[in-house]
Amino acid sequence: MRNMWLVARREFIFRGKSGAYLISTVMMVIALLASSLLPAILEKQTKTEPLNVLLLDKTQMVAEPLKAAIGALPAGPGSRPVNLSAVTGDEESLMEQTRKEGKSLLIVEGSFPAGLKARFLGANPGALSGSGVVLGPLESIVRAARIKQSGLDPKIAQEILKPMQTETAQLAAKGGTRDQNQFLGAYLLAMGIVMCLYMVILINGQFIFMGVLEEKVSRVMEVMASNVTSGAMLAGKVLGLGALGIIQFAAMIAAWFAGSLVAKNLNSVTSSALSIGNIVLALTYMVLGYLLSATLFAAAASMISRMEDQQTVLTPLVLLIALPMMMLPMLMNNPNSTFAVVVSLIPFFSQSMMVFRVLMTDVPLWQILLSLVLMLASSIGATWAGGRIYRAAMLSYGSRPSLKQVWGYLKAG
Amino acid sequence: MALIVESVFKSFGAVKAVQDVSFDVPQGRVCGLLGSNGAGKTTSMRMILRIFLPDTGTISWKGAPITDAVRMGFGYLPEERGLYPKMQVREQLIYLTELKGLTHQVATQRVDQWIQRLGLQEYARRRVEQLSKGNQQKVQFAAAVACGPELCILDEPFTGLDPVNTRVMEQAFRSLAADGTTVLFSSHNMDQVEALCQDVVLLHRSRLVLKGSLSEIKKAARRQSIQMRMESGDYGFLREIPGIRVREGAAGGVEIAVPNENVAAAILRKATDSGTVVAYSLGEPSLREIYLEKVGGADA
Repeated sequence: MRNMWLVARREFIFRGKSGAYLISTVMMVIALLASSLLPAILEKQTKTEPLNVLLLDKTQMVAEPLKAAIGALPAGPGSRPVNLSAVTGDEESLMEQTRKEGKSLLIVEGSFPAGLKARFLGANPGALSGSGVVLGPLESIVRAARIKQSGLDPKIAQEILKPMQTETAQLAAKGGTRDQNQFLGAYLLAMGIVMCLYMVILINGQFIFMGVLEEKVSRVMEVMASNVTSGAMLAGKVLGLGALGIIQFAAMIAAWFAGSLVAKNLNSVTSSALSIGNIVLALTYMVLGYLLSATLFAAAASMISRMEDQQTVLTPLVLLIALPMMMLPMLMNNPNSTFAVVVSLIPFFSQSMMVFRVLMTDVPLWQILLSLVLMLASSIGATWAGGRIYRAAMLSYGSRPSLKQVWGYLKAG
Repeated sequence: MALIVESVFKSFGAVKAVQDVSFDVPQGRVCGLLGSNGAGKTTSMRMILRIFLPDTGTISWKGAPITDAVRMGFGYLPEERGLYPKMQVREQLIYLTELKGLTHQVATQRVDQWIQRLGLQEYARRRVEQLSKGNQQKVQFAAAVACGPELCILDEPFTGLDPVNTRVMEQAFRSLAADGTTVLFSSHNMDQVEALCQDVVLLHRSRLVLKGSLSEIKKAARRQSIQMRMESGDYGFLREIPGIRVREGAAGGVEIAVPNENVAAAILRKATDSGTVVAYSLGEPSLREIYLEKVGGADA
């Protein structure tokens, strides 16, 4: 037991101060911080940056009332200022000018008000997203002119045309609803957490792989085998690097929270409630997912003895862990579909799929418990099988192992 | 007896690595484990260290089976040298010594003593990969002995060393033996084994062919050995004498294995008839001669 802790301590300290660990942790923290913060920053920037619009009013009827209507819009947080400049000239040269200056071009043509047609052309997506600030008042002007022309009582007409109140929300299984902003926030949060889990499991699994392979290549394995039992050696590695993984996970969650907090101050979108219960659940899936893959990474490395053979055994494992990430978009539309339920119960996929579902929707408790039991059972099985292969193969040197040889290691271990 | 290996068998698939090997090493003695490549030396050592378990047979230390706790008192220098290349020398030695059950403080003291004894002070803070092969081997030796083992198992400890480092390691080896450590070591260098060992175990094609104290083995040898040097350097006359084995000796002389003293006398007569005999001595056969006799020249 003491030697297991010594091995764990060495792995923790030695790998923890390695450039690979520090750089990967910093990179992941930056990536998480950026993914939580960037959408809000961009949105904020889009909202506060003045919208410069060139107005080509071919009707000669719109420019003045539109300027007045926009000028009368209430100013304040969240409202985007608009600089409207009436211009003349041909469309092509005005479009070219718009492109060059990164502005927007509003072309109004046709007979006013009955046959009016408006085209809003933006030099960038940010300009297009702000088109409502200009087109809204224009529509009001046209509508008012048409009412006047028709001879209707303006009060009655306004009453008839008053917009209907609508509300879009996701029904939660436990009662209550989530509005669109909450949905977007939950989606971003789920993606962020699942990405954290994926990175931690993959990176630390690969650290174990490289650690075992280095011990074989440098032949220090035999010295270790004369001091420490294979079980203690493997357990020490898994524990030491697992502890580093938990630190990485905590750092990434902290980065996510920090990013979300700042984003919340910038606008109301993003930040979604991440309860302590969900953090504990994600951590549990991370630990089980890590245990499931870590011993298999160690076993895979123990079967080879040359650096150039690593891709042969590493690729299938990496693909197995990466596969659920590719399936995530399929879960987004309906996280409670049969497909989603089934894949989230499969060990190796659960740590991504089930966590994603839990954060996106309300998952029945029995499904969570079943996936945890399956993960635990698989982790025990993988530790048993991986331990046997590791024990039998750690001192074997030679060519890449065949499937028959892997089976031989499993039996002999 | 401290170490007892009794009727041990070990196979790897169809390959029989060790077959019915039995020997013992008394406490505080230095025992040489000899044999050609593939004789079963390394497998035997690994079984003593519980890296492998024997298929059948028993291995005991001081009358009790070797367990994980017992082997904590053993030091090991494997034939395939291996250290963590990116770890600092001192840090690595302390780690490996702590794995032997010593506290950090005691491990640090022992490691510092061996670093000094092996002249590794200037390399203590360097990474292992930055050291020459000779110095890496000294670090490996320190890793085996720093825990103050009761039994030290050294697999080819002098291979690949230059004469200077060989002398340093031999001195370290002798100091280990002088401290009362039981040592089992393998080597292909017969002269070195003869100089350092009290007991010898000889394996050949996975089986035991000879064991005992070096002096008894020499006394019991059927052949005797002549060390002879002629002024002319011409030893053609030896071809006329049947039943002898001749090989090159030191300083242009020859070493001749003879079956009895009568043949030795005949050789001396022929030599004096052929020219001037500068040196002549009749004595016990060398270990190399005994080895060749037991395993045959082809496998030597």
